[in-house]
Amino acid sequence: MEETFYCILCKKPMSPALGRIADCSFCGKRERADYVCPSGHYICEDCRIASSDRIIKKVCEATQETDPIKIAILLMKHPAIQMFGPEHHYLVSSVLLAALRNLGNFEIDNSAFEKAITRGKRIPLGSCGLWGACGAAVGVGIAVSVATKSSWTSDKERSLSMQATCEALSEIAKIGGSRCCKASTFAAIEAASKFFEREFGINFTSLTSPHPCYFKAYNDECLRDKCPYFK
Amino acid sequence: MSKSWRLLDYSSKDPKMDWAVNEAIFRSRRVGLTPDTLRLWQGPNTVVLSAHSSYEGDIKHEACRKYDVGIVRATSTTGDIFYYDMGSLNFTFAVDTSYFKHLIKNYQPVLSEYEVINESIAKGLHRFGVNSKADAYGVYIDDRRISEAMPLWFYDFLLFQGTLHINTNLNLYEEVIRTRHFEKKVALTSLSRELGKDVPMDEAKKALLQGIKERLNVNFVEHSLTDDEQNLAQKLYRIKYGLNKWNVDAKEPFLIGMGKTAVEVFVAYPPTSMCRKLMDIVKSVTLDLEGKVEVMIWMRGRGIQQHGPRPEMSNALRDAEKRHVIPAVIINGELKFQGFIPSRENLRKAILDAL
Repeated sequence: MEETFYCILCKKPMSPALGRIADCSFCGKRERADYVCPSGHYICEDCRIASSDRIIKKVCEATQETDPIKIAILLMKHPAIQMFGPEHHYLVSSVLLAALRNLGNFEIDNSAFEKAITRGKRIPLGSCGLWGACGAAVGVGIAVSVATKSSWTSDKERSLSMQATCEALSEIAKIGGSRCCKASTFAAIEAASKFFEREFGINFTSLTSPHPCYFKAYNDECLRDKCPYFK
Repeated sequence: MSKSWRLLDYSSKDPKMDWAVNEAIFRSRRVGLTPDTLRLWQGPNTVVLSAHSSYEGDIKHEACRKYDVGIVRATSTTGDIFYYDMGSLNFTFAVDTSYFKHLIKNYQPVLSEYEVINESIAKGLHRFGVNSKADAYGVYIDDRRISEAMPLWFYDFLLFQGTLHINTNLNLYEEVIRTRHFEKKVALTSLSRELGKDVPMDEAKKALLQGIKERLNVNFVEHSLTDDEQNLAQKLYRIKYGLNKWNVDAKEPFLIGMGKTAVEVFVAYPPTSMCRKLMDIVKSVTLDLEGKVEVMIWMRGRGIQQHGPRPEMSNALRDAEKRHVIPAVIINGELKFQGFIPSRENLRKAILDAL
């Protein structure tokens, strides 16, 4: 008997596409599909085997979305993004850069994602508890740095990058522990949203509510009522 | 009502076979072929390394050669290097620990299981009039350690394998294990050292069995090794305990259940066309190997429970998942093919070589 596969985006059973042409729900590639779900979700073969940095780069390069939370949730449903892991550090910077590019506020080309991923990969797993700096918060600083083309010799841009990290870190610290990379990602993006609105007048108007957290059902270490995204 | 355990009184003259037998007993228990088991045994002069001990750094090899001391590595989750000889009484508990929980007050996972077993050993020693006591880390007479163990866990199943120093030659013990280990260890003792005379091994065995019966509320039925256990012990000796790859380099083959060769196939979810083709090839080249080979298809992102409540997964598969190596074929815990579809001939050969 043919095994039933369930859509990783909506959990509905997928069925053979019978030669139908479909758009990949991650990267948008249009091709002959093998399995599609009733909601029309299809994942291309390249996205199905992609590593975490590759899927983040592909999605952020291709997306037209202006809501960073929506892009982050899509990416975090991909099996390359584990429940906990350092890939969340560069996921945060990449989704912010993708949304900023799509809003047309900064000159952001595809090399921006490469920069964000390369920088974010240097932040190790567990930096929150070991360094006192969650990588998701540093990811916000990286996004500001890449968007403003900041470096250690910059003046205002350097300060803004650090200020953005600081504000995101403060919000993540309020959640408490043990760590949850999903909650930290949401908190970092929400803090970034306030920061960009105040400093640059950019409004991520369609910021999706991450409540209730989609991932709580799959997280054995969920903080439950202690987490602001649980309900 | 007390629980019935199997009692094995089986000793091999070869330390490597003795430790292969321990693993065979454990595997048999955890797949449900045999009941909870206690093995009491003796063996010639041997240094036992834990899975994490250093073959080069922790042993005095010249002394081992001089005194004809064998060296073997135990499969263990934790534990420290130790020595035993014919004056030691070795024990192997292969048990489902879910039974232990009602025997323990203030239950703490892992530590309580060790503690209750050590208490049963200490209770046996009381019969010799010594002040024996136990905690999760060992059995002591006053503050001197008399027993050592290397536990191994598989979900709720525990293999608690160790030694009780009855008449152990502790001078030789200190000759063959590097001094820095003694700096970490509390002082060692033996029952004969405490009593000032040798203790007949039969008396020690009887006392130990009585202590275990009383503390763990079990009774014993004497048995011998099953044919399956003997066959598996031979295989484990051949591919693991008899080899330097394990004893020296600590690299072990990954086997499923009662020693089946494991073929793990790591694919995308849903499988891509390349993944589907690979799955078909693996299926076709293993059709006639049923009973000898276990094929497990692991789909990325589906979690460890995709193969039931107590699945076995190799470290190589975990590594492939972490590095996003898709598709991949892992045979007996070694990554053999990655990112492409091997020919039927090459795949078949790799599997047959691993049998």
